[in-house]
Amino acid sequence: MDSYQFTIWILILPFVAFLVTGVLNGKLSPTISAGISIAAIALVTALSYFTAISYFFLNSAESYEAIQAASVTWLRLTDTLIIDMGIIIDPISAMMLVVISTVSLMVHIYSTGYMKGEDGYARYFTFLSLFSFAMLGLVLATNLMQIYIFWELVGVSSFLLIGYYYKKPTAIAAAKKAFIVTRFADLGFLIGILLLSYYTGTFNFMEITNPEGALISNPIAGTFMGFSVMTWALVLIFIGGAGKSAMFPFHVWLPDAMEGPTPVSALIHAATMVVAGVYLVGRMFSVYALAAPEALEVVAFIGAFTSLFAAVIAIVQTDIKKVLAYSTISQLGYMMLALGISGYGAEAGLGFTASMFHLFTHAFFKALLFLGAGSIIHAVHSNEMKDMGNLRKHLPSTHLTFLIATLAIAGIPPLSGFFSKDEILAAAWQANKLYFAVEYLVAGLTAFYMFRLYFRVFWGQERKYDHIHESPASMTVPLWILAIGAVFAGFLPFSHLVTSDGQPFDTHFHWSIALASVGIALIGILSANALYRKESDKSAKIRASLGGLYVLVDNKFYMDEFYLFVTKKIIFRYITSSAAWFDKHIVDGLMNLIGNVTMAISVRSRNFQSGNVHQYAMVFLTGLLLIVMVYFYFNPN
Amino acid sequence: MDKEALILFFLSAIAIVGIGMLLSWLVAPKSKNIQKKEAYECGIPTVGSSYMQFRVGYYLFAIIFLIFDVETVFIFPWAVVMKSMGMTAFIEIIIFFGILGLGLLYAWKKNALRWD
Amino acid sequence: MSFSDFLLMRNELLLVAAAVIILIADMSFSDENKRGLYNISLLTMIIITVLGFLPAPSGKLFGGMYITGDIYILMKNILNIATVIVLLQSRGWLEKPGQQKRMGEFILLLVSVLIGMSYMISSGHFIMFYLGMELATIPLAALAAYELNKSKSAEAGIKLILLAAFSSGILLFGTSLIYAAAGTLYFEGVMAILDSTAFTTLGLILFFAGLGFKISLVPFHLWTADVYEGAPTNVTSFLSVASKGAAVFILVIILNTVFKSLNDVWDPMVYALIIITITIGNLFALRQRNIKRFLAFSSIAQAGFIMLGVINDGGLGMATVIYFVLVYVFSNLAAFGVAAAIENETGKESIDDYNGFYRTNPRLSLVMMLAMFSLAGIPPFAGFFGKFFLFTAAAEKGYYILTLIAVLNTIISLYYYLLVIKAMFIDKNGAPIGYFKSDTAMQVSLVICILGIIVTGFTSGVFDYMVNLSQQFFLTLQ
Repeated sequence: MDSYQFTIWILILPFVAFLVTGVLNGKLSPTISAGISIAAIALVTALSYFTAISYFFLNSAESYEAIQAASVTWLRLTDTLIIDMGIIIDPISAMMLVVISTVSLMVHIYSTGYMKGEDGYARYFTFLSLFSFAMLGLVLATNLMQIYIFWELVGVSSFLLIGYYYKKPTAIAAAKKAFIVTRFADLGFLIGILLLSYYTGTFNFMEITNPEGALISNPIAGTFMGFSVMTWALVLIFIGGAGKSAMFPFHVWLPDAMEGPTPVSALIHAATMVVAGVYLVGRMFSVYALAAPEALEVVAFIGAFTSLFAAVIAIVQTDIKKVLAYSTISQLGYMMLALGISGYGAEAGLGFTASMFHLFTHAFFKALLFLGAGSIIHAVHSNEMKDMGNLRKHLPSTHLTFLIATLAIAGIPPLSGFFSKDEILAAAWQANKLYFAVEYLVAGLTAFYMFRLYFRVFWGQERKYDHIHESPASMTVPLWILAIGAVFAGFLPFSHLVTSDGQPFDTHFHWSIALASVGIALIGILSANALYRKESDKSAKIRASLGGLYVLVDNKFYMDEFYLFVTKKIIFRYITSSAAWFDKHIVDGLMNLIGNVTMAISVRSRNFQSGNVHQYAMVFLTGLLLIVMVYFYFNPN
Repeated sequence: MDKEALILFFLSAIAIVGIGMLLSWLVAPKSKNIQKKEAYECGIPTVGSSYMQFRVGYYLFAIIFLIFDVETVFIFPWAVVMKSMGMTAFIEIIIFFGILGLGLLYAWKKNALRWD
Repeated sequence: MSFSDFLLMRNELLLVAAAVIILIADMSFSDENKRGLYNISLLTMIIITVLGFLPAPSGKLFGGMYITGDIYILMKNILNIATVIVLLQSRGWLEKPGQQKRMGEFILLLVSVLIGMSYMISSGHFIMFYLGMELATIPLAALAAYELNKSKSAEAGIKLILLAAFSSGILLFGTSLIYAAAGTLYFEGVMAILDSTAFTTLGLILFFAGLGFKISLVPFHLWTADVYEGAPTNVTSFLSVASKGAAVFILVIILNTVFKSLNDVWDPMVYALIIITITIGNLFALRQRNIKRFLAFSSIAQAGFIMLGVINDGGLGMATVIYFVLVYVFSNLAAFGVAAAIENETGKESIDDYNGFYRTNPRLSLVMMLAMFSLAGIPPFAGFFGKFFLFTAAAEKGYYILTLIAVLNTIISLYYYLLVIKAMFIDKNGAPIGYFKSDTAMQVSLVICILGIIVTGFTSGVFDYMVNLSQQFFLTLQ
């Protein structure tokens, strides 16, 4: 128990870095600020690897138990309802530590090159440190309340980083949108937490998720609108997760969030924050699986739908970062689906393991893709694919690493994406053939749109570039390091490490599924090759033949317009403006009316009575009489 | 039961006021003329509008007078119980006077007692 | 009765002494330089605030007219803290050329209000309560009309005094009905006798309306926006935290003691008023462009939230009310402090004028941001816990729908609080307010507020302590 107490430093270090760079902003030179942040995250990375290695490999026990490494009583609401602040070490949090610290460190280093000379260079690193602190705190949280606090903190730091280019109106709009959409989803999360804690009297994960614990062996009784209260609570919590993980219908913020600096997109919107929702469901998984399978069905359905939905949109995007954003949404859908179809227990929990596995490998290759995209954008100063082409000659390192990541996400063996995707497909095959079919299709689409991106950027026609050159070593070295992860991460024996109940089990390699998935990936790649490797009008023809369908997809199924319609046209128009109308016409009108009446009655009072105070007193009295009347009407005694 | 009492209470309150106003409206002679709107100045013809500015000094003096006048009200009950309470009462009234005197001093110092 | 019994009134006696000291000091400094007076007043108030934390005896005085105990002392301490912060924030404004002469008035009136509020909280008798309340109201009206050369200030003063008189009348009418039913005005006596009849019910509703006016609950709130806008900013900030806080304190005490037996009468009433108050406050706050009007409507909504703790009618409810008021003191005073600093420097009050403020004055903008975050209830700032505890309190009583409505309303409120942040941090402005340095006293006050926002949020001891005291209070009742 005590042996993991040092993990507290994983939280302290980035927080101190944030405080120091934040408070001394403007006093320290930007380079020193960046240095402090990087030093802190490097130490955290070392500690995280040490934690993970000692937890997974130097552990003599048969299975992996959750360990409460630190705990402080923080608030005592009642004698039984106590909120702690602490650190939990279990397979998924240890895994997440590795993911977050690695990607974060890479992004920190990469940013020294990418952000060079930008305004507010030091501020950027301050926010990065804050984000790292919040994200690490989120995965290490021991209870629902703590996770909620860090959850919001992550949201705030994401808000700050998306809006980093605060002079750009689109960036500001995107930051606002991300914040509001996720906050809205968080409302569900908060209500879910309150419901659960009200019935269980605890926030602690160790107690809530214990399969023999009070909650699971004796789920909350009572139903509401056909589902048990338990199901409702878990669905609400999932809504919170769906907001952060950009599941349909909360996905709208993520593509817009690409307005932030590209390294931020790599860190927050590809590898860490967006998987928080998946992590949350994973963290509560035993409750979902054992106490409310209906809630899990919701998770599976939303996951499957989102993955297909986003993959279709990704095909037509022309902004390189937007393609990656939709691809991220699609892959997150994959992870959610895998959780949703999983059962609890060793073999039955294949989906759980597959989901976490995919989360792990995806972090590497998606961060790599984003950083690669950053390198491209850095070179050509544009996000649009039409400004790019034949870049493999100019950016050799970026090209190679990008190709590795693209192959990995497409699921080509022996790269990491192949293994994790294969496990998800296998789990889907066992659970539900329909979901399998959807995911199989999405696998093909993924290969297609990723290679469309790849071919259009690195092959095709040469464009006019000025001063194009490969990015500096500070940017290419992180690319190569992540590429190593993207290649080899798949070889980890994940089913021995991260399982739904902590018991390791053996997976079998599913030859038929593997072959089939490689097959569809190749079909996707080849068709992308045929359409996009050389500039031609083939794709335009296809586009033309699709007609309205293309327009629909190109406009992202009009989801943004739908939300705008609901908020602007309905909420703002009918609620806010009705309040304004009420104020303008009824209140002011009443005031004028009283003023007029007063004037007519008394000429003398005209000069010093505006009627205002009269009206106030009248409303006071009317309200009072209303209360009295309502009361006596309903309480005849 | 007591709800009826309450209603009766209100009705009679309204009635008493209402009847009084109604009666005075019925009985009172009505005449409207220009003089009615003029300020009352003990019989001599008025000069200018009645909406004229008064010197704020009037109010200051009136208020200060009022304060000290009202304070004396407190001294009467004190005088009644002074004997039975003894020293305590004496000290209390001294404090009371002290604060009162301080107030006067304050008004003095702030030039509230000067006419011009 | 011996003189040592008077020590029960320690806080009030010290405040009266402070008033006398300030009165004397005011006479001995020249009209042109009142810095010495300010320092003396501030020092006295700080000493009183600190002394307030010393252990104090509990008991009754004047045959039960005056009651004191740990929980009462705690409430008064919170009000003292608020006053000190307001005093700190007003230094720059008080020392403006031409204003110096009248500095003594401002401080004296402020202290008088505080004395009134202290007596009001400690009262054990309806007349005592009424006296305290009036003492806490009339000087406030004078303060609202403090700025002689601004017609809006005079308007604020006259509106406050007229409507306060109106609400006092209603409150007294309620009191007289209670007297008619109970035959006594001592809280203890009334508590023992009162039962649910039409007379007492009406009395309770009228009494509640009178206090609802001070807390600015809808529909008794209409004065708030005009008075907040017209009054000098420092007075507004005092009105919004101290005056409101004191009224809530005494309301929660009276409802839980005197009107305990009428619980089923005031419960639904408070329930309905919470919903109306929060919703209307929020909807109107959405469209305010003047920072003071904006904060006025947001404070109406916050008042609705506070009532969530009142409706709990138990130890937890009382503790959450006290906790929320404390948090609210810090958060709101931070927001008002920044607004006052800006107004002092530039005379600007519109949120649109704040556009681009972050670029020129990053520190003040950050303070405002923290204050807004806390008011909006974003974790981990104190405001979040304040709201969270209030929700727990309402939920504990089983009012889930009410809690849900309140939670939904926090989302709406988030939108308009963010608007201010957006203006400062995001919106562009060709000519933003230039850089300026606020005076030391203001800086100290803002630091206190920020520390308060963070420390009360993170220290569990504060809330534990309040829960303890509140539970003791309820134990002694039985």
